[in-house]
Amino acid sequence: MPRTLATAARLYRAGLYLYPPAFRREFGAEMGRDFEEATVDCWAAGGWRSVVSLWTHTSADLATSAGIQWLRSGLPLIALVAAAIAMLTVTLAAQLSRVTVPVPLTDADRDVLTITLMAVLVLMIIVAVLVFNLWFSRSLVRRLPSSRRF
Amino acid sequence: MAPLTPAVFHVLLALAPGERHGYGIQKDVLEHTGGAVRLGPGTLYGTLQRLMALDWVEEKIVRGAAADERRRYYRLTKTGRKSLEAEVQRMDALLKTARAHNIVPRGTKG
Repeated sequence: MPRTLATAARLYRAGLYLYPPAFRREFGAEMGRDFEEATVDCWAAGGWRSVVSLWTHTSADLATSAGIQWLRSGLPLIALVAAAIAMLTVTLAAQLSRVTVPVPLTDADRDVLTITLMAVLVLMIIVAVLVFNLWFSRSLVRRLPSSRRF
Repeated sequence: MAPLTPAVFHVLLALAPGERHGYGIQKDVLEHTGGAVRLGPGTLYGTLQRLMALDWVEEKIVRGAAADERRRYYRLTKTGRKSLEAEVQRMDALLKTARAHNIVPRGTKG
């Protein structure tokens, strides 16, 4: 097999990083092996013409199916929601900074405010950890064969 | 039931005779369609992932001289076979309707 074919197989394996990690972990090794085997078969059957046709088709498939897998993973939606929340927070903070407090804060008020903010922060961290755990355990359940699903 | 997508139909059809590994499915589809349909690896494994989530296809551990132990083999479940049969029945009904309207494949008209 010419060295170019081996290089193409390596390039395709690198291209698999375009897929979401969960999909790549589940099928990446097989996809790489299939591509290598298909390249060898095409080379034996029709030489360069056949190999180039396979590469063109596989590249188009990689581009489209990677997009589909990302959409299916739901991560773009999470990113969109996170960006929306971040924008909302920044806007809210900008509006709040213009609000003047009618009565000057005492030291006791400042302490209460600090404790409240810390409690909110801790709650947000707990919620974030719970959401991420649920999210990643869901993708783990999907990866298990049906006989081993709980 | 809604019609199956071409990729789902071809994968189920390739698995109908027995278990296959991914590349085996790709080669079968290419052969069944006379080279007209080439399932790319991304489309194939994306379809297999969906079919496994639906419980239409499952992984099978294959051992023996004929099996390549580095590979993962897939086979139809009972639900998958029923869905394939339902789709074939739907296609058959469509073909009957087409024939009733005197629509026949090119080259077979008298």
